[in-house]
Amino acid sequence: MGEGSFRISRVLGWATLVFMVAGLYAAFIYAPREVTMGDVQRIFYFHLAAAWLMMLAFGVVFAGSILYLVKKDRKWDIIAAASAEIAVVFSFVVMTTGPIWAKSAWGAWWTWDPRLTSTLVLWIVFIGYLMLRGSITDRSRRASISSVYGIVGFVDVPIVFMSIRWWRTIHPQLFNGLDMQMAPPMILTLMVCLVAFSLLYVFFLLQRIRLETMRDEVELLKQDISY
Amino acid sequence: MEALTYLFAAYSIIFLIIFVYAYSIGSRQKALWRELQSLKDTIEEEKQTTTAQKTESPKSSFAEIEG
Repeated sequence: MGEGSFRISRVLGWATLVFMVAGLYAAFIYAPREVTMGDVQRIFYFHLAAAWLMMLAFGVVFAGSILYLVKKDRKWDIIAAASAEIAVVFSFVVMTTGPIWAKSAWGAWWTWDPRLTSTLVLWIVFIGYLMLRGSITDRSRRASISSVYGIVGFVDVPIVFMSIRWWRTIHPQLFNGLDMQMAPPMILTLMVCLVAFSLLYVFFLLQRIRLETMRDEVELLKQDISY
Repeated sequence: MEALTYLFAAYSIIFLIIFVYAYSIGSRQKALWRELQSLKDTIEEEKQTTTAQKTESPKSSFAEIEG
């Protein structure tokens, strides 16, 4: 990792921290108390930001996988693999904070609602993606097979997004076209949290890319020693 | 009160997962860095041994001739 990218990581880390603190302040203090659900609605700000990060990360896996298959450049496979791990971690955040909110709002931790079920399926599919990567030792074979799997697995992402429009669901629908049914301070809070999680994503992605690049370097040196 | 418990639980879980993941990336990076350094050291040692053998071997052959 060069001096330049180290500096970028550092700036990103601090920017993420600042926005996270601002997001927490906005979610707990600045945003007004929601009338129907009360304070538990404040989970929504970080829950939705985590869901945004998850979708963004899966989108990058999809784009990275396509670009790898087209260009056969290892860097796209590294980006896809790095993003897939982050996506799985933040799917887990979504899958744990969602039920906590659901318990308070719906009286049940889990229902087989289309949004919840399709998200669970997406999470399992990409755990499979990571397991697949771990099971193939040949680098180019691993990259090609994972890319195909990543593209096919991404099919579930639009299903997750559209599930609350296509099927009858109890999951709240935030957007009605471009209209957000929230008070302006709530929208601003949500925006701050979205920026915080977007920065967090880029920070983690850079760190994971660095990890993957080091792994490649280790593999190459091991080959050099054995020859 | 129950709502605040749920709120506290949700945010604790979010930050716990973020910190555990950041720690996991950091420790994997450290482990790889150590492995990388030790491999580089091994290669360097091998190079030095090879160079030393190359520079030593003509001397010994001269010594044999002289002997």
